[in-house]
Amino acid sequence: MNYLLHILIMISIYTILTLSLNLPVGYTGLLSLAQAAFYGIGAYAATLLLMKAGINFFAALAIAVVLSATFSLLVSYPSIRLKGDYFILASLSFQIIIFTILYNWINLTRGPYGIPGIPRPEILGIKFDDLYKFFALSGGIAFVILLVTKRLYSSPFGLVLKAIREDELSAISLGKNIKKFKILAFAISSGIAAIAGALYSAYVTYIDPTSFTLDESIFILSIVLVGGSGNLRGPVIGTLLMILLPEGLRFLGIPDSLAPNIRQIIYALILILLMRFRPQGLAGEYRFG
Amino acid sequence: MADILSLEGITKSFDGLKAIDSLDLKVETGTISAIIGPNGAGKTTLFNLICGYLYPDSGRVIYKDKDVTNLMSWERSLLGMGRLFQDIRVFKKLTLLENLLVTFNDSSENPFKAIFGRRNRKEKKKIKTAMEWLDFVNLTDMKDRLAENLSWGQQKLLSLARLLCGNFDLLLIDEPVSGVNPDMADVILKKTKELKGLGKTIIAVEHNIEAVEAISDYIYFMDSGKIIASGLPEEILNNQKVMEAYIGI
Amino acid sequence: MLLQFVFNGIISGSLIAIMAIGFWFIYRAINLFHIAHGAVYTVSAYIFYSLYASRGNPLPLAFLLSLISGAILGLAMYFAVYRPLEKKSASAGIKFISSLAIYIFVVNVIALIYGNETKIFSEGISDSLNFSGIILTKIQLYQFLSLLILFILSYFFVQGTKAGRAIRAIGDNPLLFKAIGLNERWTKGMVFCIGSAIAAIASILTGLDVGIDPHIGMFALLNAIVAVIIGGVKKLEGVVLGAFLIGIMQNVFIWQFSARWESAVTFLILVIVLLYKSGGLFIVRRRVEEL
Repeated sequence: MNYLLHILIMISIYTILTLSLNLPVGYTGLLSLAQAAFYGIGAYAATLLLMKAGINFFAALAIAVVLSATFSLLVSYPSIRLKGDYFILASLSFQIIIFTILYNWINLTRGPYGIPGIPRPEILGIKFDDLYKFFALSGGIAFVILLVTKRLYSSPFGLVLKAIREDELSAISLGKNIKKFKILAFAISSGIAAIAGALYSAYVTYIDPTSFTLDESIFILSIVLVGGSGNLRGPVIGTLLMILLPEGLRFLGIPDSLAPNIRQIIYALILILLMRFRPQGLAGEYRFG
Repeated sequence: MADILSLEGITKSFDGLKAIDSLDLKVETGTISAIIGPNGAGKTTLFNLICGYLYPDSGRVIYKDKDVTNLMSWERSLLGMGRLFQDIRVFKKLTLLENLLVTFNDSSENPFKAIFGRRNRKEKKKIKTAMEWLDFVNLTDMKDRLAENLSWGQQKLLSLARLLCGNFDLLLIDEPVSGVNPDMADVILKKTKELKGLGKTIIAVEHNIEAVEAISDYIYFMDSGKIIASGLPEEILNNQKVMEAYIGI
Repeated sequence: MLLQFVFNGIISGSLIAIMAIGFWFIYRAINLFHIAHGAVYTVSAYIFYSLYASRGNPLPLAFLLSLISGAILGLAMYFAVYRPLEKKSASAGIKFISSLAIYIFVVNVIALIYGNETKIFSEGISDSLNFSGIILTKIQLYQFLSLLILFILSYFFVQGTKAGRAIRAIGDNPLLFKAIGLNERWTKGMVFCIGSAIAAIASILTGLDVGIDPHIGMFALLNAIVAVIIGGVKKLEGVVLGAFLIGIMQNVFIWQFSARWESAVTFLILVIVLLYKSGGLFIVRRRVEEL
């Protein structure tokens, strides 16, 4: 049962991450390899606020969201102007830069030593310290984010994003400041990723920079591309598939030493085939190029 | 103001080749002007310079008595400069209604309002206005169809409706009747004339001389980046030199 | 002391330069980031390991066979992955992701076959020389000399031969290239062969020095990309210069700071150069385009 709850919690955290990346990828066509960086910023910001400043988890979460979104401006403001694969490269660069800072700024983050003993969240006397309660929390937050993104997509703001995705030139001719909308989308995405980071750190109670590497960014992007982007179904289906797959492998009796490699091979293969034959992913709406 | 648009000494070169050469142009408010000329004359480049997709090497673009030469394209759009492209460019995967709803440029296009705001009367009002313009182009019953399912001519009408819904005052139309059958062309021309009645100013690039004759107040003949001749339709279209230059090449 | 680190920087810069030249050939022709190039790097090193260290084949033979294998792998990647995507007019983003996925696939297959640990080649080439206080190992000398020879050969190939001109032409104006009737498939196939073989040279020379593991490819690739971009993508000399700059900067940084900040600096430089270059090239406001 604990195992099942663990899986469910991870699914809820990754659903939040995937929904967050869905906004830049599926709605403004920005393929970003920097999501793990904002995931990490959220995790570290929330953790440090929680443990060093003694703030309540939920307040720390809110502040972490704002910090992450603000930080994203440093990344998006200069990079938005870059075309296609140059943007991906820039996002990759920022991912590495931010990771390096998390890893090396030992005075702040303790670098590779990590931060242990992160307390589970509590509010109004409720402590989310067993798996059932934590799943209620993470699942609940994931559900709220799902509703929030649904509202975003069906709002006038969401409509503008869709229009920009369809035809930038046409959107400009109607008076849309493309840069502003892309930057906003990116900021919201980073804020939501921070929520996932805060939840993750409170769940595993120990964080170090190795959870927020380029590989992780690639993984998150893969989920978005495999599941499909530009709608709500895609990210959810993608998350379910990509998280449950390795568990399925375990049932097949693949030894633990080989499992990570085989997992990567399967992910990569799925991605290659989809890019070739079905770029909108399994359940997505947005087709690239 | 008398002239909604005024171009002064606009010059633009690409790789050393002059695409637009010291061009002056004054467009009177509330008129329909047509720009004709052979391919490569620089007509589309001129439009791009007016709209702000390109910046001139020298010269000024004055719009509504304001120097907009250094303004970005979307800023000019917000000031009322609209564009209808040669390849139309409606938002294909959006419905007709959505294509119009996106033109309002109001404060509701804001993520915070999206998450925390309430769907209110403002939305209903927008839909009402949008439907009026759909009605104007007789596309009301298709409001929930995806724009990509429209015929070429219908997409042109939709584009026109977008420009009206967005309250643009100067409409730069690239080939209003190209690629449509004569019946649809009549509809488009009729609607374009009605726009004049609504106080809009139109500049159209068009190859179809009949269409040009039917609706224009003024004609400008362009060649090699310059305006060679300008005046009333009767003058220009009966001008031997102009017609030779146009049809000759 | 500084001099030794600058010197080390030149040597590591040589390796970056070799990889960068290989990457450049491909990039110059197709204007895309061939991320899977990193996988070619890795595979070639492992094939060399199998032939030379495991089976004891003579070094020159193992070297040659590894180069050929690398070239074939690169060529296969072009025909199996890029070409079908080209035919579908896939966007640069899709090609990038596909390339990345190929990299991940290949590298993990290698890890499955050979394991994730570092493999060292047999000793042998580890004598060092001493030039007035600066230490230089024999393998490092070979690395530098290889770069020198490779650069000279590549430069004359690209500037002085018909094939070299074709590479530059297709990169500058692919539509015109095809319109004139020149053979696109042949030119692109050629750059993949050449570029991939060069990647093999880089990985073997590096591997002989410090050993190999399945993840060496990404590190080498990223450094090469930075070198190509900061060196100015059209000119080979710039690429090599960029590689030296990176090598020296990284080594001096490692010497000066106890923490490993050099990757942050490397990529910060990349970002700055990308933005500087895009000041006039990519912004919508300047182009009428194909948007």
